Amino acid sequence: MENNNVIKTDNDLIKYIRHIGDSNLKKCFQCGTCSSVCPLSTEDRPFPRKEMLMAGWGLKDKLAADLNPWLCYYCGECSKNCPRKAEPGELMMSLRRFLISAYDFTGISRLLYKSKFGELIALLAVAILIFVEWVVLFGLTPHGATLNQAVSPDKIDYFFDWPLTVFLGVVLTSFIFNMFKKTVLDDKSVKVPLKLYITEGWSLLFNFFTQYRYAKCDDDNRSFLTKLKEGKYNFWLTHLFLMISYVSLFVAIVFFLDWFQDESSLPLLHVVLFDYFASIGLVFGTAYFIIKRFTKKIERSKFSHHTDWMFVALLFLTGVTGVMLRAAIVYKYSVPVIFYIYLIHLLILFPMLVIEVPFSKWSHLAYRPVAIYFANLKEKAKKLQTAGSIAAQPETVPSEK
Amino acid sequence: MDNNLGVYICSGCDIGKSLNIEKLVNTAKDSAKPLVCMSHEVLCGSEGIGQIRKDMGEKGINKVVIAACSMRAKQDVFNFDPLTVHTERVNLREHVAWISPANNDNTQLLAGDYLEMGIARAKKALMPEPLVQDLNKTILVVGGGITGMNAAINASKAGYKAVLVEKNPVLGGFPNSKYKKWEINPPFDKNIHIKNGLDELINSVENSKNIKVYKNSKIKGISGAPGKFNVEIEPSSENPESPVINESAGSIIVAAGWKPYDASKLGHLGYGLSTDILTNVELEELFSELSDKGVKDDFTINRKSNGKPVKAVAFIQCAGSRDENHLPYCSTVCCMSSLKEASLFRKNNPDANVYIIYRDIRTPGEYENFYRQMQNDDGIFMVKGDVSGVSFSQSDNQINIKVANTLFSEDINLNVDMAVLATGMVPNSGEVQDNLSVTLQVDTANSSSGPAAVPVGTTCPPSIPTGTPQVNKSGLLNLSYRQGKEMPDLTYGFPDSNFICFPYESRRTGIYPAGSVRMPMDTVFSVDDARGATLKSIQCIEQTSKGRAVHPRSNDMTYPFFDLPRCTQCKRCTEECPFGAIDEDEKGTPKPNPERCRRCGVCMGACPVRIISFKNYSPDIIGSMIKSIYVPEDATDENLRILVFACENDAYPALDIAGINKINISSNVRVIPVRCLGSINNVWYADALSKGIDGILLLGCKYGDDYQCHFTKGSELASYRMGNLKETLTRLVLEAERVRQVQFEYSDYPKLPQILDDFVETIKSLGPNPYKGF
Repeated sequence: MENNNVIKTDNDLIKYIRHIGDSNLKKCFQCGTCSSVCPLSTEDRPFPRKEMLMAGWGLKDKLAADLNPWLCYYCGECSKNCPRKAEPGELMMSLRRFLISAYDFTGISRLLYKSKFGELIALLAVAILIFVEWVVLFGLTPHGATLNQAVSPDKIDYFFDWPLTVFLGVVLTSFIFNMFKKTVLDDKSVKVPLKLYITEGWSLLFNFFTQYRYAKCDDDNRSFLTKLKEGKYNFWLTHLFLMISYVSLFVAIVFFLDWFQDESSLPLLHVVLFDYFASIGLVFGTAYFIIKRFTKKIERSKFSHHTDWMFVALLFLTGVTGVMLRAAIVYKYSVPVIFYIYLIHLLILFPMLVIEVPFSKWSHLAYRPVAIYFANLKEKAKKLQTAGSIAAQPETVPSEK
Repeated sequence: MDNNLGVYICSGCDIGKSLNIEKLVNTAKDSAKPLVCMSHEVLCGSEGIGQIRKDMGEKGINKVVIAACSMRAKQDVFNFDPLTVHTERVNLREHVAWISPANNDNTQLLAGDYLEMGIARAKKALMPEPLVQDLNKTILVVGGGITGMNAAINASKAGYKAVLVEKNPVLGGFPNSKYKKWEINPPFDKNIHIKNGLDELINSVENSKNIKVYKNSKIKGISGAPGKFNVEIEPSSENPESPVINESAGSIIVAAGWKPYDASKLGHLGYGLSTDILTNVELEELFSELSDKGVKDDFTINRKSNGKPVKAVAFIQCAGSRDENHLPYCSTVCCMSSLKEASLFRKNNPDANVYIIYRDIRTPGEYENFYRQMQNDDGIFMVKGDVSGVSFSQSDNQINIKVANTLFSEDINLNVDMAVLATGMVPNSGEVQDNLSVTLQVDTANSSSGPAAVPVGTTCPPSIPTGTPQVNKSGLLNLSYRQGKEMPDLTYGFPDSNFICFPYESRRTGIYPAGSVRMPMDTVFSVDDARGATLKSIQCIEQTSKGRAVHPRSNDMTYPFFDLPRCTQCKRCTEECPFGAIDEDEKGTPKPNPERCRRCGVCMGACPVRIISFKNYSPDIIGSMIKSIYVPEDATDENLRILVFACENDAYPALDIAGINKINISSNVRVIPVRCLGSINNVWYADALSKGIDGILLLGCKYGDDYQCHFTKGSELASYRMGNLKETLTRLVLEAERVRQVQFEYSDYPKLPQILDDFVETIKSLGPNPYKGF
């Protein structure tokens, strides 16, 4: 009891947080303006005020167990209104980076976040591995008259897509379990009943597919349509468009690669969905975010870490080379042309997936909805607990025999 | 003395439009038979003033009644030599024309009454005879710290001699033994040696021809009054062979400074558990020691217990401050000093983490910049919270601090090597004398007579409201005053008067506290404070030697006259004087000290036998004014007469403002300005009520803990004396409600009509004064 809750300040963590973002975290004097202007912050979760203090004190364990950074969508109201220019919004961003490295028990993401060159080397290493694999499987020049002879989709599936999918699945799942342990299991103040995991499951899917909290980032009371017209939802909708495009292409390629390599089987749905919708989403979306990051006009895009740049750049290049590859197939370019475009596409795609998905910025696609799900679970469980303890009181009256 | 009366009525500024001036002129002519009585359209113009001056020269007019605007307006114009001419201002503008309906009988009656009252007063008023004396102009400075030395130097620069008494063997005060202070100039990121400039200051004090320094000395006793203080100086350490030295002084600056709060009372914050739990002052001493008194900067701060470098230190802010059980106030410097000490830890022990547990960080003004600098240091951790417990573990030599109500929204625990209690400042305003009972209490010999036995105006009511008991102190100034040895405290032991209105004023005329004995402050503020107090003390010397009052009745040349043969030795005046101006002999006969007097007239109000008077302000003069009010015998509502005694400091100006804003005020009201409600003698109530005045309203300052009375307790005394009066009224079959006191401040002027109307309604419901026409 005596040593309960002894504060351990971690000075290295403060340095690390300063390194992975541009927040002036120590300037905060805890006025709470940020939390009061935040459209998403609640009384029980007074972020980002509390996060400013925890980060300023370097409270590693408490920060690692904190879900709040994932509940923030960086509308930037806090940073705009901060009287000390402490950039609380950017701190939440930094904390998301910290959390990605905290869930990753391998320490790889910490390396990537710490060093620009580390990230480049890691990407390059994967690219070399992919190149070697390609040469071993398909050679340096195409063998065969058709694309399917030169680059067998089965081989791509067996040696590239599926191992990758399994790898990502295993790694991400283990990281998410780590997150689950830190944020839910280790929290002694609340015990989540099993039933809740199922009944709250909808929130996981709902938030994954709608990113609805983005819309709540703007808390004025005007109608949805007015705000839509004013462009208040542009960022959210673009982000959603990009995410849906990405996910649908990823699923399609992993399971229906045959179709992508064959220009003859062209059901209309596929053309519309993948050739147009998803490709446009991917290229347009990434271009939009790149422009935002260059112009720095909105709070969300004011500061860019090197991992942010790498992620959008790779995603953009993946999209562009993918579109080129598909176009080359559809417009029946010669096999060697397609062969090399294919190779280049994979040399960009795979490093991006292997490095960015579990260890870097991509992972927020997984962590965000999961975090909202966990936060919901804990909140509901707490409510049940308080309701339970109130309900439990009458039971203390001795019952009649 | 001749009463060569001249009455001048102005008809400008709406007065002529509102009133029948001719009628007023005739009234004055009929009743007073003045040498001159005239009206003028612009009396304050050169023609009007020229005429008055001409009459003074040709006809020897020495009592000028100017019936025009308020006495607060155009003082520069109606400015005649007060020693040869009595100027009586009758306020026909703000108090009649601007607040009452024009060309109305009641308005005309109001104006007529005011004119009669002014004439009555002018007839009886005498010219002041100021007490011009050749007085000592030396300034005694008690305390040789930053404030004291600066005060002495300021005095010397202004051409005055100073005597400086310091209890320690060296000058310099608190900073003398300390290491560094915070930077006071941008960019506020470093600290400077506290002795920076101190030696220079000490040298200039010690080498000044105008300053006589007594080190190692203290005040044995002070007697006398401003301009003639007799100061006995004795060695501060007991040395029977050292002689007591006598010095004379004109005024006194008390710069006795402060002492740290007694940390032994802070057991709940762990003081005494370990040598590593120290106060901020003890930490300063440690710094000073480690730095060889500021010689070397590169030292490591080691734990006192085991000599190992400090790795983690916690500062507990507001240790015993802002706490009703200890010091209820904020000492203003502890936040800055802790931040400074934190920065020294960070500089000298770069690995050390510094935790600051605060309730509020208070770094006023530019100091905020220093706070920002320190805040941005990665090794300084601050959090708001209340320290709920400090424990010490012998086994691992660690101090554990529990903090509740933190901004982490949970309680936390800290393990540190060293804990610093940021204790506050206690003023060195004298030691409390436990063995003596509280002074300024009711004198038992007299209070036994009780209030109920005697009629209005002749009784000795029990003196002094007991609401603000004074703690008896001694050991600093050791004044030989009847009311106690030290300056009375305002609050928390700080000897102030009412610092909102009059900084540096104590309740002892000519004695000015400055620096941290007055209120908690740092050296920068102390330097400014020394300046202000020096100016005050010079002002006091110069005014007193010309026979003029100091603050707040600056330049008043009257002073109270005591007709001692008629004195009954009731001691009311000696007890009630807010400034301890009146001593007494062993029989209880007052021994007035006009130099200590601030001319408030509280003694005059107190005196049951009315032996105290001023040349132009006395029970008789105001009584005559009351008697000159025309009270119609026909008892209708319109003919109700309400007498208002308005304090000249706040209530009267408020009435003027009401006039300027043309706020309509009841024409039943007759206003008599008084120096202070405390100067109201009970005989005036008798005068008014026996004349048939229906009600009496006292408009004066707020009293109590945050009083606004310019004479500290005049309005409180008035209220207290009224308590006695009411019993007498009841015996006269008059309702106690006929007399009311309203606490009132300048900015309350919009409430005036309401206050007056309420009172008029009360009087209406009581019916007219039955003594009308007697």
